[in-house]
Amino acid sequence: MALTGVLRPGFIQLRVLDMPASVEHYTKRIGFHQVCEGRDGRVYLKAADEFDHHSIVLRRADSAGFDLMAFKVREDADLDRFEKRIVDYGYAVDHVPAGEQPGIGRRIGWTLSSGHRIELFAQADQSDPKPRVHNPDVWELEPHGMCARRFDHALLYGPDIEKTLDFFVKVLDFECAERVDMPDGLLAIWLTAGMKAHDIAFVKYPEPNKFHHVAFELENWNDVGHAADILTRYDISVDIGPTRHGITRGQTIYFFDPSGNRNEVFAGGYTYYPDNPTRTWDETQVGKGIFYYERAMNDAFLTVVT
Amino acid sequence: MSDTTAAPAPGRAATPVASGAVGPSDPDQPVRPRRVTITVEGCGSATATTEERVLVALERAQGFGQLRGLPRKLPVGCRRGGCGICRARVLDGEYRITPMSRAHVSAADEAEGVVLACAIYAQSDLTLRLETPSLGKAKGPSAN
Repeated sequence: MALTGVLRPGFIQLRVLDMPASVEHYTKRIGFHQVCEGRDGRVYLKAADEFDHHSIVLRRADSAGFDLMAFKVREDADLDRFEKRIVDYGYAVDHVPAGEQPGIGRRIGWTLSSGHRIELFAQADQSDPKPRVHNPDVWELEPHGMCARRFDHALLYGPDIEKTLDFFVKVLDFECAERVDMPDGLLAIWLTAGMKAHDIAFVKYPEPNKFHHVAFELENWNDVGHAADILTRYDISVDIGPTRHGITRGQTIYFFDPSGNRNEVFAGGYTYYPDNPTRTWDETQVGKGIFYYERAMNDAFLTVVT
Repeated sequence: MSDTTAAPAPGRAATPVASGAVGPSDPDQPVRPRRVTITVEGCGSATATTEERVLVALERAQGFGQLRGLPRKLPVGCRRGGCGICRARVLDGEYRITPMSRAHVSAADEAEGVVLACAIYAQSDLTLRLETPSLGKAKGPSAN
């Protein structure tokens, strides 16, 4: 068994301005399912191809943006081991009791120098719909909307990403799959806990705790095209795409949810092995790295966040 | 949620806005929403309808070569009231408001006519001034 410690992204909690419109967007358009609504009004969503209780949490608020992202670790004792390493690194760690989110066990949490709250948890109940495990079909419930298969990763914006890179590599045992270095320093990092090209990414930005996008994985390039049809049919605000990233190689569309939080649906991307070298980009080719076909960043990439 | 089902909210105008000009009636019948003129102070004007986001009308106008006085590309971000890039001040006219992030437009701002152009629907001819924020600068108390 090779994967230990932090396994993968578990769930993300986002703030939305209009809950009914947001639920409709993430369920009917993206293709997720509503698992339940908490007593405090938070809504819990999952993809039918995910086992765990939920992967998206929506919270009604007066501003859009990012509350937290939680990673799943292999076993409960990992939480104690990571807590000690995080505290030794210098971040204060707090404890969230089991059940604060339905179906999720105890969590530990802290705030990065970029301003973002990150959590770890080890236990999640399963919920329906979920894949069968014995003689499974390719899907138990036929996909709908954009046919998203999972919550895959997030891109976050904030200051001091050099320290965030150092922290994820030294303390959480992530690898840096790709990075962009500009003449004035590190601009962006793509980090992975496993064998995907990224589980979380950061771009340097003056204001802390900003949110660029949450990404959902699709099966293939045809499904990216189908997602583009849905975006136009339902007049969803599009940022860019369909196009491709040079970085990670994902085939992609960026668009916005009804509160202005950016979403991505993507397919593909290479397999990352932990002995692979970090791929690096400089200022002469960074446009191709971000949007491979346009070969330039659009106006919104570095400026439009929630 | 499509634009046409956005929940109406009272704008600065005293007159409550009658909705229903566009509804889920026969989809094959052409809808003829009321046309209004959006004037961007110092930059020219654009034709809009009462059933579309003001920012979307301005984007279309710039694409048609109108709004020639704009010094650069129109600031367009999420188009859904979240990112704050299209912050503007309405100088004259009536409009209705859909949800806007309080991180970018406070209640006091809103009372003065400060809006996100993507989150308002003109209900009469409008005159507005773009107040594009500078990158990464907080616009007000960070609401949670």
